[in-house]
Amino acid sequence: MSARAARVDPRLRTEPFDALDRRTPAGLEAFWRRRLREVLAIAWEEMPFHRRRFEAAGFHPSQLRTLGDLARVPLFDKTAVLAEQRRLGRFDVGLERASGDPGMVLSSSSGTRGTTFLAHPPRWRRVQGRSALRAHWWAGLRPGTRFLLSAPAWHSYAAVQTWIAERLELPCVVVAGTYLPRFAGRIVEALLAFRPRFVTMFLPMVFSLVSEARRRGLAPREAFASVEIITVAGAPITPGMRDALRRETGVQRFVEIAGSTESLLAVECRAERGLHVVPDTCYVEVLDPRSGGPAAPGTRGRAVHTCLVPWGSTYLRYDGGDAGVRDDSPCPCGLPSPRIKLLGRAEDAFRLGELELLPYDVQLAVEESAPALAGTPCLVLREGLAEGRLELVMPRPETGYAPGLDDALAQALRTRFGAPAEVRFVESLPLLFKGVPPVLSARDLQTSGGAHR
Amino acid sequence: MTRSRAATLPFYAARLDSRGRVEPWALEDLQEFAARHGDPYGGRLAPDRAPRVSLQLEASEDEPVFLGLGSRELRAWSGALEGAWRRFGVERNDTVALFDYGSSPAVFLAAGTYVAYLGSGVADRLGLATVCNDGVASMAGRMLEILRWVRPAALVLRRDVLAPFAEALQTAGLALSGRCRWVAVTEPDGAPPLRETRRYAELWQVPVHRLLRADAACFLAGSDPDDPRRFLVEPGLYALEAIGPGEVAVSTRFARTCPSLRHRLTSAGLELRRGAARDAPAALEET
Repeated sequence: MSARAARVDPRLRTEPFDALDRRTPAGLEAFWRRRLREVLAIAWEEMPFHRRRFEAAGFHPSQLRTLGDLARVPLFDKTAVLAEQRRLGRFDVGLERASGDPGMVLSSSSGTRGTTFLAHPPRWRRVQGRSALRAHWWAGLRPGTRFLLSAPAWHSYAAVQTWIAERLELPCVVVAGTYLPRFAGRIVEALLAFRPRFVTMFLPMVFSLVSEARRRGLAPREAFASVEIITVAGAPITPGMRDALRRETGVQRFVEIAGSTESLLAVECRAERGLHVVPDTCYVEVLDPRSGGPAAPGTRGRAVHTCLVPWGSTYLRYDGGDAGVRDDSPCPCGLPSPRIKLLGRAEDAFRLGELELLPYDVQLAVEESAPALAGTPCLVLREGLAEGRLELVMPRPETGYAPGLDDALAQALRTRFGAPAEVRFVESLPLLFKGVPPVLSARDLQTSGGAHR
Repeated sequence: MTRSRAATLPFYAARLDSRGRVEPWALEDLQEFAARHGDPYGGRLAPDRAPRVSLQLEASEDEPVFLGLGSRELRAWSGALEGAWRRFGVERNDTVALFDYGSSPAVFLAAGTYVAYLGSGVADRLGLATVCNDGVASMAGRMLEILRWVRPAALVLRRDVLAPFAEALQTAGLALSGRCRWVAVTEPDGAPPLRETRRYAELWQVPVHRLLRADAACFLAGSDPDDPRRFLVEPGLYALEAIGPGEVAVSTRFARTCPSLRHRLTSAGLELRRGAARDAPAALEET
């Protein structure tokens, strides 16, 4: 990390949460070295899953002297946890601490590649809760703010969200149901009844809320009239999406949060130049998939994180399957922590001509070529890719649609990517559990409800 | 707030009978009041109380109504769930798996982590662990993963997901018998029909209990493991009264933020049976 002091822009300054936020980048590195040594030592003593990995790699926690030494700890991913789960016949595979504590709750990972389970004992909640509070503080949450919970008790975030609410004495609104478009109406009702200032939301749900407001004959700005800040998670926000949402809702701050059940946590500051790693939750590396070493700043790689809260399930050098970039340059907000941006699942990457792309790149290209489509979800068909062609399926936008838009967009995409491209507008796309899947086969599209013309 | 003062709240004041008693009411009455007056609490919010938690009632789908709650009320309500779980049978270190939304009291009263200001939930007090699976049918597959790897001692299922869960079990060839000691079924307002839970009990060869809920009144009672037609009501939490043949109204002793007087339970054909001793649970028996 650069030791240069950040030039702080007073308009973008983040009000520090505590002394950790006031450290210099070098001071933060020292904090990380100490915390990593502590956590790795605990893992060696108390977590057989990790100890076996350390031993196999000839690593002992006492060997960690610089952050670079962390590279000696072998990486692991979900397949290793799933394999151990199958071998042992149980969820707790030896990377948990205090998992027998009364009052423990378990959360589950997303099930796209099999389900793993994470133990969250009360001691985890206290330590993780304080760190997550820092993230919310950076996002602008303050005591007394009314807090809208969509109550997804299955997710680890639910456990820290309630802790934060208690610490800041936030009056909470529990909305019936869950983060699915069919519950958008219930969330809109809560927005109208309680007029919150701060809202946390799964990004695809924000679009559902905008549509729901319109369906009720409300301008989206009316539904969001009281809201000053929306934190969005679950998918990377593009600049066009952010602009479109600002215009539609009138909300000035959309703060992106990247979080995973396995304790990766990063949040955007006012400068909107990436998401600051929350330093007491995790340490994040972005690795070049070819060399395995650190990717050059701003270059895409695999995001690997090490959890720094050694209670419950503790993931150390975990490759969660996300593609991202890391930026260590000073931030005008003054926070010392480096920034990352997760761009999507690495498994969703595809080749188009000479290019290696993510659906995020397509989304960016769409909104830059056709600003009216900013924020419109799109789906890339696998069959088209197999033939070297970009075949895009998108719902017809509610506003700003003009005949010929599909051809114009296809032409722009052909020029941009140097490959054949087709665009097909449909009435709606299938909404699976986590919104619209970015790369799908035509057959999957059919079995998941199909695109409605 | 005393009962007489509670009766001065707008919702109740508008429904006093000639003797000054609150007419029994149903959720629709509250929804109607909330819509007419543009009051999310339906005219029941005590003027001297600021709700810590405002709960959108699941059953108030067309006209939303919110229930204001404080810490003590949440804890008392979770006492009703605790009574049900104790009778169904839980042991320290058991894990209870919940397949329902986090906004259901059958979930959020279970653990202090699920809702702010509860402090300790049923699992915290009884030394249990919980795992929650979001209450949508498409998550039935994840429930099987929970069964395989977490091995819960008991399951609490939202009624909506019974059929998809049963189908997922059958497709996977997984038996509940021998894996779980009991299943409890819940729905937003009222109780699942006995014939339905009996059918699943036969299919799964596991006791399938029921929860009777009236969220507008913070009311919750579990069925009697020895007689599934009866719901056992925790002593001290509620005042029950028979208000007509097969009709029971409940007043919630601990509700202060949104006092609840004489809420008519929606399950038809309930007869009230008082407990023999003062501290014995009263029973609501389906006739």
